Amino acid sequence: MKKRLFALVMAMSLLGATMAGCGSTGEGSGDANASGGDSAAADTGSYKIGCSFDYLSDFMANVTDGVNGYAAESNGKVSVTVQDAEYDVAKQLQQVENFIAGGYDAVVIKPVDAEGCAPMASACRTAGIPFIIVNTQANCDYDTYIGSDHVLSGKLQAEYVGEALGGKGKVAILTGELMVQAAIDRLQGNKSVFEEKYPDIEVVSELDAGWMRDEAMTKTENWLNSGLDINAIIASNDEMALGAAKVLKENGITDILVCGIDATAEALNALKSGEMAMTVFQNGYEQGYQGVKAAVDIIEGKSVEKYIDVPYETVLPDQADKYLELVGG
Amino acid sequence: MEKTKGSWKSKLAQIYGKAGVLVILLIMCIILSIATDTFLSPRNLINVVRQIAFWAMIGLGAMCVIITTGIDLSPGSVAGVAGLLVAGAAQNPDTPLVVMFLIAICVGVIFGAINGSLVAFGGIPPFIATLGTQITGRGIALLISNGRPVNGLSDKFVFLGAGSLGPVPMPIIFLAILSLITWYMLKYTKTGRHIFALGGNEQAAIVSGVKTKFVKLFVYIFASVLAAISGLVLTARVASGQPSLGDGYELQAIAGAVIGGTSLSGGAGTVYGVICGTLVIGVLNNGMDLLNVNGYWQKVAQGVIIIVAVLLDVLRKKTSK
Amino acid sequence: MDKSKVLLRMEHISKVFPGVVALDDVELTIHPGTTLALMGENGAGKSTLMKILVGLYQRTSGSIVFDGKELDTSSITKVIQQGISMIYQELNPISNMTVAENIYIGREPYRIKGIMLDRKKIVQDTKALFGQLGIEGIDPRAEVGTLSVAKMQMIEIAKAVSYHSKLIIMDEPTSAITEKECQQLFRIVRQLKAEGVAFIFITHKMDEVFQISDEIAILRDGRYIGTWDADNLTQDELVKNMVGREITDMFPKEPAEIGDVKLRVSNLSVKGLLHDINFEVRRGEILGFAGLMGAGRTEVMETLFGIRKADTGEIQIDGKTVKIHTPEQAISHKIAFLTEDRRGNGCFLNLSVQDNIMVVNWDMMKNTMKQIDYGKVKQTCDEQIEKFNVKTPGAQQIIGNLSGGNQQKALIARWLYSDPEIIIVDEPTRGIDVGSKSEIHRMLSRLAGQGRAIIMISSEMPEVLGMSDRVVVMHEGTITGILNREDATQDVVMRYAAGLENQFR
Repeated sequence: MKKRLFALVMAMSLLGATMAGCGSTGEGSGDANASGGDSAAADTGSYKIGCSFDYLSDFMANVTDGVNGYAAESNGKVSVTVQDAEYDVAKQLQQVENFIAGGYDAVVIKPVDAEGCAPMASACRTAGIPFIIVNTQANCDYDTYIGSDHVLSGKLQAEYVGEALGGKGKVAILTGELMVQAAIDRLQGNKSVFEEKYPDIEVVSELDAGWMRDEAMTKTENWLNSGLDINAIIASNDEMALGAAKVLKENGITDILVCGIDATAEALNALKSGEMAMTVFQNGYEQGYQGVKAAVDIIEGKSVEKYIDVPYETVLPDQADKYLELVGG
Repeated sequence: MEKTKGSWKSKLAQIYGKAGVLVILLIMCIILSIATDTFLSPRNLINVVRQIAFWAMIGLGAMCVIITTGIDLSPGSVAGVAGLLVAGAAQNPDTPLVVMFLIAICVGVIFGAINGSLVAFGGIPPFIATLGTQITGRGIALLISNGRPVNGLSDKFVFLGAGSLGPVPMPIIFLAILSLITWYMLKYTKTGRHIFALGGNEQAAIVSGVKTKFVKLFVYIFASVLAAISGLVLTARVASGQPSLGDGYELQAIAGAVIGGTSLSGGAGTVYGVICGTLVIGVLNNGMDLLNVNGYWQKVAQGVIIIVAVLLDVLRKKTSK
Repeated sequence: MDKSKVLLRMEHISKVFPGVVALDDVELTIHPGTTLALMGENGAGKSTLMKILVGLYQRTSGSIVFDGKELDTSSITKVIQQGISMIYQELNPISNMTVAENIYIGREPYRIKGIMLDRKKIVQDTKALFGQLGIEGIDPRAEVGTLSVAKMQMIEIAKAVSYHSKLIIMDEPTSAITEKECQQLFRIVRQLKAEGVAFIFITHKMDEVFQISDEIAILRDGRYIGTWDADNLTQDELVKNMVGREITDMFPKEPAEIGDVKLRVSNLSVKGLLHDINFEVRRGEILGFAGLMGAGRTEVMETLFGIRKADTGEIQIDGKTVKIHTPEQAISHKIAFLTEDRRGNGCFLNLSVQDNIMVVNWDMMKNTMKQIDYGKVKQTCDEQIEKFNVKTPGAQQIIGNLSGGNQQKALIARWLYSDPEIIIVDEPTRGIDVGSKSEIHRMLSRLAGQGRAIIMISSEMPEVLGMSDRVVVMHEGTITGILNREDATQDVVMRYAAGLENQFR
């Protein structure tokens, strides 16, 4: 009997810890709640907005900042909860359902899977609350999509590489997990440019490094060891690009261009030091900010565009400082 | 006639029994050295060992836990938390290396003590208990880092992962040291022998005066400390504290240990097996990269090799009976 | 007994395992409606022969004719369908299913074919089956896990009958059941014999062999020695043929000097299990513990050894009160406990002989650096293996590959190396061949002679009576009598064990 009780208590506390680990409730800069209180009285315009993001990576931390930033500016009018779906569609659906059950006024998600959002959309539809997706386009009945076209980011990388190599050379690509839409889109963007504009650029290898720096290092080492002749490495995010750059630096190789996406602080510094050649800025902060803003607008009955574009921007070494200020590095 | 045939077969079974995974490993190496002209280059071989070093360090701990018929799903997260905290300390160039190791070991002891207590005293099945700490640990890593990498680590710290002594990269040196410690612990200490006894027959171990709860607590702490050190070295290797560091490493480690002959029913496992088992995975990944095999097929092959290795082990046990 | 008809004839059976010839040109004949006891020391090949018969092993050569036809031994299921069932020593019922489900598993009748099981029918069929066999007191709907070993055995027999088996093989059927249950078992066996069913018994208990069997077949070292009518064979001749030598004294307790009280247990109680246990054992004494299964003898020893928690009670060693809450403390007080359930809590079956001997002795193997000294370990193991005559290719052999007798000797080596002063042995010779048995008896006798106190639990009456200086008899968690050697006869002990008499009431 005692044993069982102990087990139960442990399970509960574990569960508690887990939830604390996954969700971070941002009410802005602290005094937000003090003025507005957390009463759910809708007439005074106090909204609870639930966010479920596919994975709390470095980039998604920017989106989260944008979300919290809007909440902070709202002076307590808006409170947000951010949860991590850990690349798990089922988990994301659960989180959305919990938001609905918890009486939230709107749901903002970054989809784990472009095809897996329909049940979440219809659940929100049934509950009569807005369903907004950010960052990644999804095939479902959403109210609005705030994002940047991932295919475009891949195209920007390929355009840069095509031009820098003078239209001729060999390229290796580090992709993210090819179960995630962004990975597929970016790869497609890379290839479409090469096929249409630079037929003499050959993609000699494309390997899945799962968005991770350590795996990217392993893959790059293996490329070098396989004697593959490479002029440029295109990575589908900065983490992988940094991993590739690190291995190249260790081996004293300076003539391979490394391209990333995200413009993280570390990547921008790598641009400045010459270890990376370019990255693509995706304005995560703006995506998160616009996502919550759109949610509030819909709740308040304002009309909102079906697609709000937050464009990607190519970042070259001479612009690194400017973007460093933006991302707060 | 029959007798000689029988003994020939049993000899083969014996050789396989002793060499085990080494046979699979050698076959893979031979195939790869024929299929590529770069696999056998010293540089590539050193690379492969360095790449698996992190899994193998965790695998050593996983083996100890599995010998007691337990399982530990948390080492990936423990590595993540330890790596982040150590990275935080390593941002200050004046932090001595000893302090960083102490931080990692503390993280390991704390997580291990939680796992071990839940299993030994709480009576929670190890799968559930360590799944809980795995998730909690990852959450803690995200919380303390706010989802962002920790950069600007001191050179002397980065040397622990990226440097090398002579031609030997540091991660391999760490793996060698931890392997020696594990081998010694299992063979030359009473606790080590009791780990086998506990896994062989828990009831008999109790009757024989083995402090089974203590032994359980010990193996989980031991496994977590190895994971934490692996996290430290990996953080130094990537020169950045990563909240997602070590994600999924526990599965590679467990797979490596099991391919290396660690019995999931307890009581059997060797350091040598863990190293060979993880090498099988590492060589497979490396070989497929060298051959430029598409990522989807890589996953298929990894799954197949695990099943084949364990199947061979089961067959070997059957024929030896 | 009708010897004109032959039910089963196995001829020229050989079985070669890699490197070992387990059976060499063995034959066996059994007639319908008879019982044959298959005897031999452990490792003689009895189990292998039976496993070949039921299709668990494939024979290397030889022929098997059953009921006039060549027997198809390609699978266990086929053998069962042809009318041969085997009841194993370690029964493997599915303990969370009911009695009826266990009997009809794999051939469940359907009410709607493939969709809905007819649970009522199997319960009715089971009842009918039990009625036919005169089995009482088993509810077909009870979960098997809640029943005693004896009842599980009855269920296995009923299952065999339900398959219309013409031959039922029983491996050590009485090793885990009480005398009374044993008689009930034999009654059913006789009833089925009358209906023409033949039985093969594998057993080590001499008295039973003569009580139940018509013929006795003997194997030795994988060879067939012969088959005798039970009436024409004496116990001595049987033993001689089994071991290939004569064992003159089966229970050689040698007189030893009885010294001071070594261990005294007072007022020991465990709620619901043991009530007010008081006894003492002296140096040089063998104290026997007799009683029926479930009388609480093992539980007394487990409590004494710190495996179970006592609610009340005091333990004195050499006149001093000691606290024993864990086995470790017991070991430090120089108590050794050779447990009853060799496979369950004695052996580490998948570990080596060396690890099995050393598990309680590692502390003594450390060198000055606190490191285990493998030179010493090897030397000690080799000495112990030699001393206790453990037949093994070496200390690194996995103990699960040894015979039961040799496992037991290795366990004795484990406990005796630390030089214990109080030795508890629980059913030390159960399931062990005759040769090893008398070796173990001589060993216990010698240990007592060295001034150690020995407590021996045994369910084999001749063993208890032959070996003990005094006999403690237990009944339902209490001690009903403590008898001196000269007063302890089979009758008297049985009366105390059955609770008919009680010295302390």
